[in-house]
Amino acid sequence: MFCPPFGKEAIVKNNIRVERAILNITQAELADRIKVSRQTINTIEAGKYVPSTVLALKIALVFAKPVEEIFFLEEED
Amino acid sequence: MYGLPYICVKQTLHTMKPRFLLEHSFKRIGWLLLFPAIVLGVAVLHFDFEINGFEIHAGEGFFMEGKPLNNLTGELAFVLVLAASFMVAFSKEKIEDEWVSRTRLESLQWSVYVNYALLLFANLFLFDGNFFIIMVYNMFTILFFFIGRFNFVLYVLPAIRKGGDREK
Repeated sequence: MFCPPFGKEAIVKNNIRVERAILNITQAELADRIKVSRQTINTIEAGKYVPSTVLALKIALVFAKPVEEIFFLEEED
Repeated sequence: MYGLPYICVKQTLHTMKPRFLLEHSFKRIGWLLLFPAIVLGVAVLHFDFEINGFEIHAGEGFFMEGKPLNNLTGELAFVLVLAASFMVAFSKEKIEDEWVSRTRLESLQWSVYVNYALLLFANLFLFDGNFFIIMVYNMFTILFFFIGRFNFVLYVLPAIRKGGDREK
């Protein structure tokens, strides 16, 4: 797992788009399963919003993977 | 370890329960009421519109007995505009989740900033009657800016973003 070095800005990225493609579900279907709005999934996927731990855990449950495989830190471009 | 049924059980863990918000159905009522209310308000403010028979009179034994003191059309317009914009601004969304709550609070801050920036500008460059008109509008503009910004971020921005890339 990639760990950003100290002193450098790290941002949270996610794999939701890829994971959705694997399950073959739309943003709306994913939103429906975890009882959030479609726009919320849209903004998370676009990297505009980092969800709370609760929501991140729920998303990970849908994809049946650990949270770290869906959300991870990356160095800022 | 991981599985879907878990989600239903843990639903109660959902954070940031919306507080002090009206039910979602009020939003529609608010929108329906808002435009007639604004038209009435503008008519009162700029064209001195008054509904006949809407005056209040001084009671018996009081100064100016029986004379009309005030026409209540302005008060009616104020109440209608305030009630309608309040309903539009502070009704729950269909799905009120954490991002919606966050956007709501952010938009509220944004609208206060914009409102006071414009008020500062008006204070410096407008005088007398013009400034009075601005003050009247200013009673509602925080709510109007909020409504505009909140709905833009909630419905317009995701649509633009979605148009740029393919879903699924």
